[in-house]
Amino acid sequence: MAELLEVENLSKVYERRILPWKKQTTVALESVSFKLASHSTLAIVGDTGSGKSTLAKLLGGAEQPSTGEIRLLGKKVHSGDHKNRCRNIRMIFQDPATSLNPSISIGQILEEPLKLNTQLTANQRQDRIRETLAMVGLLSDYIWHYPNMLSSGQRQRIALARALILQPKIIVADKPFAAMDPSTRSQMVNLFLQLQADLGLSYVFVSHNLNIVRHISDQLFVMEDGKVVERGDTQTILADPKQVVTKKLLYSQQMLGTKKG
Amino acid sequence: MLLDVRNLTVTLKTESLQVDAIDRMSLSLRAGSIHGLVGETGSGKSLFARALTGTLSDKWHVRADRMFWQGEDLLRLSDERRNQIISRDIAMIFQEPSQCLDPTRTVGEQVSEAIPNKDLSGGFFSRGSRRKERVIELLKRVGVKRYEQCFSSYPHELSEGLCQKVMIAIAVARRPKLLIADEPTDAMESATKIQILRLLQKLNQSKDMTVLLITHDLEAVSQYADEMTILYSGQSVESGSVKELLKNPFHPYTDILFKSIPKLGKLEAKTRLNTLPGSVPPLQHLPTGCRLGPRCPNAQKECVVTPKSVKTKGHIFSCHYPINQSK
Ligand SMILES: Nc1ncnc2c1ncn2[C@@H]1O[C@H](COP(=O)(O)OP(=O)(O)O)[C@@H](O)[C@H]1O
Ligand code: SF4
Ligand SMILES: [Mg+2]
Repeated sequence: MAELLEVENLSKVYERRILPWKKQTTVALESVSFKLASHSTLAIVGDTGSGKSTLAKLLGGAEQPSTGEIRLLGKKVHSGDHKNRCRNIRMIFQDPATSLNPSISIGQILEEPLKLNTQLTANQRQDRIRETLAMVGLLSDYIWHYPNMLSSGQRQRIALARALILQPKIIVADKPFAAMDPSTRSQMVNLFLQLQADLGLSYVFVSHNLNIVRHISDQLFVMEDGKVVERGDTQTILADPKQVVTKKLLYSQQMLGTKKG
Repeated sequence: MLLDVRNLTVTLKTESLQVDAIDRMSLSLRAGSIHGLVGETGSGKSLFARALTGTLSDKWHVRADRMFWQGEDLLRLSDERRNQIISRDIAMIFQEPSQCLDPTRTVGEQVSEAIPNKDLSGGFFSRGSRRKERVIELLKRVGVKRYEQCFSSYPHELSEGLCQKVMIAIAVARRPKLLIADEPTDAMESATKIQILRLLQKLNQSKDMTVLLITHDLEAVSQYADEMTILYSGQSVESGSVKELLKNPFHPYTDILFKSIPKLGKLEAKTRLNTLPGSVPPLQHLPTGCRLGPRCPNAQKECVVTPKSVKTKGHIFSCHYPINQSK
């Protein structure tokens, strides 16, 4: 059977015209190839500007790659092929407060992608919305609420519900836990793990918290200056990092608990 | 003790609502320590800082059994005297430092303004150059490598990390006894975050400046703070040395907070994290008694009465049914 996700020679170069006859190019992501099986999680770590978010955006279809291709279950995802990608790969952003439109009710927020991407009838859509809300641990009453009536933890769940509503196979999340409170964060981590166990979802996480990365991911990419400089099994890399960047990242968190070095 | 606050209550009074956003909270700061003030969003951390520095508006009422600053009760002083002490001894930095700086003026101008005149020896005419020297010295001290360039930059030209360093330079210019850092590294990348926390640690050690580190980032507190106070929904949960609390928490909330960090909980990958059900109650619907009650695994009938704070074995905690009490 074909691999869930195959990525080949994916890269991104940004070009900026600084003068009419002169262009400045930035390589945001150097060519990278990898595979992601179902039920598994890829975590991407690295410093600011190392290309983590660029890779996430290319996978989620929020940006067009300069080279390379993405295959889903053996079928090439074309840059124009929004429907197929939208349904199977969904993105979640760091701050749901700004990514959820405050003037639209939760019911409408969740119905929108169904209207755009499926042939479901109005009744079927309502059923799907209810099921999805239950999946993220919210009562169906929430369809009448507006985003600003919810706590930040509930908004995170709505953002996740919006990603899940099309029953995707892969969720790409850019620092989903960064701004969360401790108890919200652990609830969300549990929810992600549970959805993976129940639905076989795969995740691509951009993160800067190695404690969380260690806990939730199978594969790890460490990025620096647009390159994936170290990659492999998460536990192996974290136990025995080879690259200086990885060691640095790990060092900064390993001091945890040892205090005042 | 540098600061000793006992049973601080901060009440929000509006036409439709009267509620104790902070309910009999206590906190003691040992001079020279880094003290973490930890709690989830809305637990009252910033409110505490504003109550202490007297920067709350009229709709807030502040009461306390005492609020001793170096042995002097701030609540019994005239506003004028109190403001004098606070502006002399206490400095604050916040999250989103770039928003706190004036976008229309250079870093050099803004840091220079924070330097007290008495620091500048020499006659009136040599002050200008003395001032610049002192600004550069401050920028160096907070770890700005390209200080000359930084001096003549505008805030928008600097990264968030650099802006925070500048804010710290401004804060320490007056040599405060206490620096209150309210979520100073919120939303920063880990490398930058660590630079800032290390800087605070360095200033704490070399300048004997006490730091109150306000955050919801438990990882940062367990790594950088000596002591910590945990707040839940405006009530004190537990305080004591970080080491001791990590090893032997008495309050159920402390226990669950630490267990929610995979590494500290020593969990196998992909297993469930220990966590509380539900979410923090909104200010309009606070439970009576112990506010953790509806979410607490140990709650019993008695918990509808607010637990008194108890001091044993170096912990101060507020709970009717504490854990780890054997021995
Ligand atoms: N200006 C305000 N008006 C009304 N309520 C406020 C205001 N500022 C804070 N609060 C409320 O006071 C409580 C404590 O808030 P805060 O101190 O900002 O929490 P933290 O800093 O721990 O996130 C919260 O319930 C918050 O909603
Ligand atoms: S007082 Fe009761 S509800 Fe509050 S933390 Fe203790 S056991 Fe739980
Ligand atoms: Mg705050």
